[in-house]
Amino acid sequence: MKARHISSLLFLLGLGLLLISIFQNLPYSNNLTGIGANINAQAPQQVGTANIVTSVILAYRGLDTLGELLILFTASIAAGMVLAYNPDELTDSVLGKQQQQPAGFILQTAADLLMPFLLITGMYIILHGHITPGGGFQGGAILAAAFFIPLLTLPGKRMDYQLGSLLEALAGISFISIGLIALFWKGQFLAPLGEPGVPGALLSAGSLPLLYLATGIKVGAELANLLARLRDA
Amino acid sequence: MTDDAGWIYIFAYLGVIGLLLLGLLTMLIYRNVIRILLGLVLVESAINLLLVTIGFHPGGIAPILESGQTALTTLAVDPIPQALVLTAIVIGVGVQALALSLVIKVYRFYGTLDIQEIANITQQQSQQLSHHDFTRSNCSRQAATVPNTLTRGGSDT
Repeated sequence: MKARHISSLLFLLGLGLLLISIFQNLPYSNNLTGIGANINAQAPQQVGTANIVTSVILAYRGLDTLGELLILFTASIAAGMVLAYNPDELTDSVLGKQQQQPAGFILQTAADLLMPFLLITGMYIILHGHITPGGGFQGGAILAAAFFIPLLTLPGKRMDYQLGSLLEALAGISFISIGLIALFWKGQFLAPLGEPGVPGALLSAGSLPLLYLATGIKVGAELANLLARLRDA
Repeated sequence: MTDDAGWIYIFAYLGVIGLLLLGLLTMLIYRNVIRILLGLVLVESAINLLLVTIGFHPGGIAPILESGQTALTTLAVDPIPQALVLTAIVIGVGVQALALSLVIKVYRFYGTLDIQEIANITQQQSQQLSHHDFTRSNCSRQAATVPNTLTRGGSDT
């Protein structure tokens, strides 16, 4: 046991005692601000979503979601820049020869079978994000898996980064243009457009399903590009 | 507030503290970069658990309407921390992927993932570099001082 370990253990002990004393003073209810209760009461009539978390993400805090998409976009670009494709490096690497071997029969067949089902599940989760638990982020992760699993079975094949970037750019542009249309029409950036409708119906909540579709495609394309870059590195 | 509901908070907060301390301990005592990254992941999940716990209400349901309902009839938990955590998870994935790509580059460059060995290598490199800089700056200082004295002497006369 070195001095470094003892000092870090002492530091963590003190931090734990401090956190316990802080958490003792936190109030034991969700009435911290009262905003959450108000949103729970008003969101089904104002926005028309059966899933109230979706109304927070896309209607009440839509600008924050745009900023969050920007963070994911920045992380994706930064990872792409760090792992920029270098042909000399790839041919010289020791793993280069092992990676060229094709995957086995089981993995190839399973990937071919899984891809359409994963696509359907991902689109279902994205398009029902305003009704059920789910939405653009979760469905986008499943879409990314659908495009990444076939890449695992074909080690020599390169990912089409151009297509992913194009889809991502189109989704981002459509998200922002829906927000700009709302700005000129209703006077507020990313305000929900259209009729709220009946909560629970598939065609309800105005423009929120379109926003979630753009979010899902953007997240899916970014994550697929990110995974493919990590694989090609 | 019944005692049963209070125990949920106590367990959740103890879980938050345990995960946070475990993650920080991992980041402090291990020297492998990937293990430090896993410590960061543990700290992230501790913060997510803390946010969800603050928004929890005893006896509250998930803020989702069932079929046929047009308004929530029973008490539901706070939807704002849930939306925050939903986006925080995705941001966490992006940050982890970026950190892993940096780890790949570090391993390519230094050939090791041990931060102590990386520190030794960078120290040696910086010593060589500073020695190199020192000789070069000496030369440039001499080269810079000679014309200065000449011009100063010239202006004095």
